Amino acid sequence: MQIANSLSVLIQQQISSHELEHNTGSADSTYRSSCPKGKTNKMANRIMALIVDDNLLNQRIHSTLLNKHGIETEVMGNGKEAVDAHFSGKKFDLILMDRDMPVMNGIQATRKLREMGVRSIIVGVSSHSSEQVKEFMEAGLNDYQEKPLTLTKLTSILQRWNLSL
Amino acid sequence: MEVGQMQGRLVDYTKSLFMEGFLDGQFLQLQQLQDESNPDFVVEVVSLFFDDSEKLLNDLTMALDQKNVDFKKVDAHVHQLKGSSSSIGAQRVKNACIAFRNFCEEQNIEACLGCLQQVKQEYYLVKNKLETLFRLERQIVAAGGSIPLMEMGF
Repeated sequence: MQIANSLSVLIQQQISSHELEHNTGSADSTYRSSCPKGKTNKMANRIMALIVDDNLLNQRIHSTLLNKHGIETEVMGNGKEAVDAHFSGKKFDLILMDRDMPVMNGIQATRKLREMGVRSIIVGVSSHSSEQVKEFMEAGLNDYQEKPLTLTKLTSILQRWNLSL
Repeated sequence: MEVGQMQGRLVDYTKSLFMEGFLDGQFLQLQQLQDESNPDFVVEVVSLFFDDSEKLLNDLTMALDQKNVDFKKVDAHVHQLKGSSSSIGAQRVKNACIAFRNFCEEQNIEACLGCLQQVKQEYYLVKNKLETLFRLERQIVAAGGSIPLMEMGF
């Protein structure tokens, strides 16, 4: 669609004027080798997403959903892994955070990440009632979506947070 | 049976699964995610669901067999199963889990045991249905045909 294309160009220009560093730590992300560290490269501007969920099924489905939108993904099985990854310097544009996980749950992880100064878009994904969502939102989420995620829900998230290519 | 007939049979069978409530729209989502770069996505995801569910059903059976039932643990397992079944569109399993959780809250052991039976029944039914579906798909592919795309008119 014409409008969507013009909009994404505008968004690209907006994003590149902010600090957008992509970490070159991960060996298996081929796109990063073309993106010089510390600089934004409009042509190689890929969105990197982190999926934090202890359920293998959801990891697989959510990865594929994001990949379908041209977004690269990494998966982690609990909140602590996500926090540790950020401690070691990893950065993501989008984090899909499940609520219930062993070791460190989504609420604790979100809180910790915000305390660390992580400014990524964090979207809580869970199947909980509205009262429980409040606590999750207050931990520092940008947004929340009920499971299961669908193409439509994901598209609305990406559009709302200017994460469409 | 020639390919056209097989394809017709597959479409009818798939439609019946939706009509009878075994599957819901989420299953269609999975089919939409399958493409050339991910040709076996649905089968892979459903296999994950089978593995996940069987483990959870075992855990549930053991948890409810304890002298002092830990209802929090039981509820946690049912919550997981509800999530998984919801993710692949196994509607009847999901609904059975929802009922189950209500009885966990009430800490009603008899009702929970009844629910467990119900969930197991629904699980084995949908497992059977899905395995049949995949078998029909394989037959079509083996005969040189392609899998017809589901129309979402319902």
